[in-house]
Amino acid sequence: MPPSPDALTPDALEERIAELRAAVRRAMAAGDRGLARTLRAELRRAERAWDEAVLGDDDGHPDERPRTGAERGLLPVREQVHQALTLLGVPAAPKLIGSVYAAFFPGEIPGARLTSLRRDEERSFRAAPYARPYYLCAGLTADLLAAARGLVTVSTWPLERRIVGPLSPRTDFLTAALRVAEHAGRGDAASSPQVRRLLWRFATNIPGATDVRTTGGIGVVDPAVLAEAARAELDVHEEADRDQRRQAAERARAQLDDVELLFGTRLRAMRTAAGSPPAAAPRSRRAAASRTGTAAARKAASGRRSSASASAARRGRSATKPSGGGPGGEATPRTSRRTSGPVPPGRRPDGASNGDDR
Amino acid sequence: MTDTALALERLRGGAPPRNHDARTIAALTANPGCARRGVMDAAGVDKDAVARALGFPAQFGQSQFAITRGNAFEAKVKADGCAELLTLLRDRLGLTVPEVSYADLEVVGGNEGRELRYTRTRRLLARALESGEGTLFDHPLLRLDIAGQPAYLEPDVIAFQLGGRFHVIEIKSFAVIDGQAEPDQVAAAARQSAVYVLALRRLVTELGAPADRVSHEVFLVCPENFSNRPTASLLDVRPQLAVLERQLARLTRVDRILETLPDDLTFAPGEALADAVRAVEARYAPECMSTCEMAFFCRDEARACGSTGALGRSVRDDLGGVESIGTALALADGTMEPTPDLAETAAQLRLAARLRREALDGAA
Amino acid sequence: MSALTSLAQLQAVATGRAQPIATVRHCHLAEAPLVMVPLKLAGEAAAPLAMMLGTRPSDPTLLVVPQPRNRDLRFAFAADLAKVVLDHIEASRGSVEQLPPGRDGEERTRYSDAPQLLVPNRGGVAFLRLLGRSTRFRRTEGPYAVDAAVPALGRWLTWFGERHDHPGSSLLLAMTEVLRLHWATGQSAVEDGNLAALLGWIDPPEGMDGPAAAARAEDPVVCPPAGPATDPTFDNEVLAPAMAAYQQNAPQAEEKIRAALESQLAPTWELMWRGVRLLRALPEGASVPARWERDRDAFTHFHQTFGEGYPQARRDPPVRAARRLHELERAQESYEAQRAFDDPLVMAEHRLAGEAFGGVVTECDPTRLDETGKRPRLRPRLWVRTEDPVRLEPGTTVCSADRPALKGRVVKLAEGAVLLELTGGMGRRLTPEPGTVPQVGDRVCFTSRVADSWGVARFPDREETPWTHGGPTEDYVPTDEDAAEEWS
Repeated sequence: MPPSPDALTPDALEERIAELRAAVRRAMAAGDRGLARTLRAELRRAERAWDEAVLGDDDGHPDERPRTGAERGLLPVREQVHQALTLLGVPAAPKLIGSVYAAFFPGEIPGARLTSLRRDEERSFRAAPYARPYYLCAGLTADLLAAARGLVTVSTWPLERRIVGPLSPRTDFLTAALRVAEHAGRGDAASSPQVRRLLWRFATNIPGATDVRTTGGIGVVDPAVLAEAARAELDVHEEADRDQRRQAAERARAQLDDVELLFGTRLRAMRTAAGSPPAAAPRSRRAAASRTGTAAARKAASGRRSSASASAARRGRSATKPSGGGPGGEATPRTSRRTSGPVPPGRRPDGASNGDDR
Repeated sequence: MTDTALALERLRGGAPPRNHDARTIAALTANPGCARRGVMDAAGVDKDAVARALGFPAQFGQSQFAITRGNAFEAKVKADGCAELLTLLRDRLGLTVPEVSYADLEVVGGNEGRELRYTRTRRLLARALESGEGTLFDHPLLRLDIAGQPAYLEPDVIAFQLGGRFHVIEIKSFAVIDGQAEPDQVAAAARQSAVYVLALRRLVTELGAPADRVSHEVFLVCPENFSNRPTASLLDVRPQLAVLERQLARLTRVDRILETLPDDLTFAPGEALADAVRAVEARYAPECMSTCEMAFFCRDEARACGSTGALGRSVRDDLGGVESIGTALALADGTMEPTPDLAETAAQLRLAARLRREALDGAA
Repeated sequence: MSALTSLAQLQAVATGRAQPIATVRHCHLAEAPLVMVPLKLAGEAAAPLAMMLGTRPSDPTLLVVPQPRNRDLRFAFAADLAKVVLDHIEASRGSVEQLPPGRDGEERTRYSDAPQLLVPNRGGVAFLRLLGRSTRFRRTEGPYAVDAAVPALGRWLTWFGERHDHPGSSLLLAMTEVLRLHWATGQSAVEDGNLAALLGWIDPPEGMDGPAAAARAEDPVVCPPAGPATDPTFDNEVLAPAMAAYQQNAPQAEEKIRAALESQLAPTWELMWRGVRLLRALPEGASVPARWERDRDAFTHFHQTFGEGYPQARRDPPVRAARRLHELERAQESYEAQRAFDDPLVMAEHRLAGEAFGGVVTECDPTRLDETGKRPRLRPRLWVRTEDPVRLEPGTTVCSADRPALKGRVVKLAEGAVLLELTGGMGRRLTPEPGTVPQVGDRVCFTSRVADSWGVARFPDREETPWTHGGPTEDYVPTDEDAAEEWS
């Protein structure tokens, strides 16, 4: 058993670090994740020991938070998001929210906090429903009334706006373009590079929105032209989209309870808010299950009916369990989805790709 | 269960069959003449685990930089209701302005069960065929039967409909520079997309529509030059489709190979694994290293028996198809008398040997 | 590859060491070549990560981009790289040779030397090409401005890439390709792409044979890949954490990244210089200086017209493309023929194919005259006994491998013998100059593969590009769009 890292000289530590690195890499190459994890932990210990030995404590601790240059400002993240969404007026993805905020408001929204936002808001609502003037919540899909992947909305919006039908991603994009163009047209906001970039992002994807002149790659967008083009295409889809959303909203009001209206249904693990009456909840969900008609929902509903105690136990567990993909959380980032294949020694060193899809 | 199915299960050693995906299915077409691979793939054996157990792990692993880049590019293309993608489709395929409908099939109401997603995909695609409703389908789940096992395929891809036809869309993060991309990568994308086209065609046929409602042209979206801007091109995958269909048909005839194998053969882990694997003949070529997890084991075996194939197909061809290095050398130095069919090859080799000797002696 | 090289491979397997397939070195090797070992970031087209370069093994320069997605750092790297490369180019001109004036009477000069870049493998060449493409259009003013040296670097790298395609050029060489031109290993071409494995066969370390050295080379933890692609486990376990620490301004983060990348580059750096030593040990082929002279001509021309030129266009206009293709084919023919004259092992390939033959002169009539025409001409005849499978038609022109000036014609073929008539290279008189005609008992070799058998191409001027090829093209002028391309 090698001596604990603290007892080794920097040179010996460096050797140990090199050995451990090689061992971790070998373990990962052979697909032995468990071993790799253990070795990695040891590697970190050795690296920290080296840092202490060589750099000493007084060189300052590295920041735990990344210094991305964002000013924190005095606003909590949820307020920043609220402001951006209010400007946009439509359900939006975190990336767009971030870009809009950076373009029109002081500072930036720290990216890491955005991803856990919906989850945090749901927890907060369940703990004390309607305690806050607004909540940041999910968009609902029109067909299944589940949380739409990757979208954030404001609870004070009318339900029709928070529901997304098949045409809504496009109409919301166009509406967002319109709102951003209007906002940019006021005052001299149009001069900042972030605003220009944001306008360009919309304009390149709306027919008729770009001017012919482009200088330096990102062209100069005339907000009035952008607004007009967005309006023109919006006219094509707007009515159908509105109808679909209205119908879906009617269904939702009939079938969903308060939490679900904000955060979407779940067909699987059933959760009831700690505060809402258990009797009311199963009834509406049973109705929802039969109306949506999917086998799994029916099955889940019947499962619930038959084992109240089990569901109570699940309730206790699931109320605090962070969700992975699906309502209440963002879609899980795909890490190893791009399937990997065997990497031959002959190919790799010849400069063949080592990462792109094969 | 049929006899074949039983035999295949026995070969697997009772383990559950390995899940196929588009890449591994595409790889099935790589070496049609290899019985070892044919049997293992038909049985759904985890070749990676077998290779590792035999001491010849295939090195796999992808750089997280590449993964991140790929994910980021795909996210960009699909952001805001697939805004960038719609622009490309309108530009390159003439998608009309009203056609913007988007359906997300990745997560079905919080439940990510495969069966559910597949069912929902079927339903939405059926509706599209009937009423023309629907334009973009994000992450549909398709199914393809490989030797009796269903393989769930998730086009890292969006299938959509234009003028009544479905097109498979593949988003790849290798760059197209001045209109050209690395041929290897394009070829791999074509092979993989062909699998999706095939699966989609079978689904469409099951739903009662003609298979050509699925276009053989795949819409390939890649970054343009050195930027993150997407650009699109159309890939005709008819050649890849033909090869794929042929090879899948072959897989079903695996019982012919099974007949020649011992009744109790199994690839279950254990002492006898190496012998079991060797009992099924392989056809190793250096190309295997980029497509099959068993490659290093087979390479070691080929080298150990002095096979010319280990040096590459073109070398073996230069040597007139002679399989053994020892034989070729003996023919070259005249210590072996050639059989009639090898007479010409032997003469060629002897001549080559003489010329080499003359040249090297002269230079010395 | 042919039966000859394949046989050599079999012999390599049998002996456990690579076998020579050349007796001389067929490329020019500079006194102090610029060895460049690039690494690129996975998943990108040509995002440089690091490069180790230099002209002396003991003195490498290490350039690193600690955060490849940071545009400023990327272009700082490009500027640093430009300085090293452009300095090397300037220093490699040697002196200016005066040449006789050209056809139009204009003055012609040629530099006595030229720069040579050596990269590990084909991927390295491709990387330099892409790097050239991604930098040559950059602007030095306005938004996205870069250091002035960067677009210059881009144009030079693109030029080197183009010369690499030219058969017989030695300005930019990939070490694996050059080594494989001279040695045959007992492994496949795919495996030969691994520089460490290839060198393991050619020059195995103490106590190991080819296969053992190659096996060791295939372990990326022990032998980092020669690039430009990095090993994925290195990326994930070492590089990514180091870069994350850099993002968070951890102390010494940049040094740690440099150390990590150096660990991946230094072994390949050593291998490159080992390859250089092995190649230098071979005697230089007789026609190598002539080809290097062509390289020097090209270098001189590009260097002298650099100031007036524009960055190379993205695609060739049709006339230039056709001309380039023709030139390449001519150069390929020429190159292969020249190598055969320099190297009996290469000539052996032509003999195996029946396009050349070697043997002993059994009969000779050195003063034979052909009096059928208006004036008598000296036309000696020889019988050459040969065991080679001659596949030449009577009437084919051949020349002597030892002395290409000696030309002849195949008169007829018999079992194991060839009747040859000599038509030139014996002097102008009706009796041959002494020593020009082979005598009975001499070993001779004659080949039909003569260098420069193509005529000068006739191509329309650019203004007259036929309509089938899109009509006359305009000069290429780079636009702002080119300069603005963002790197992702």
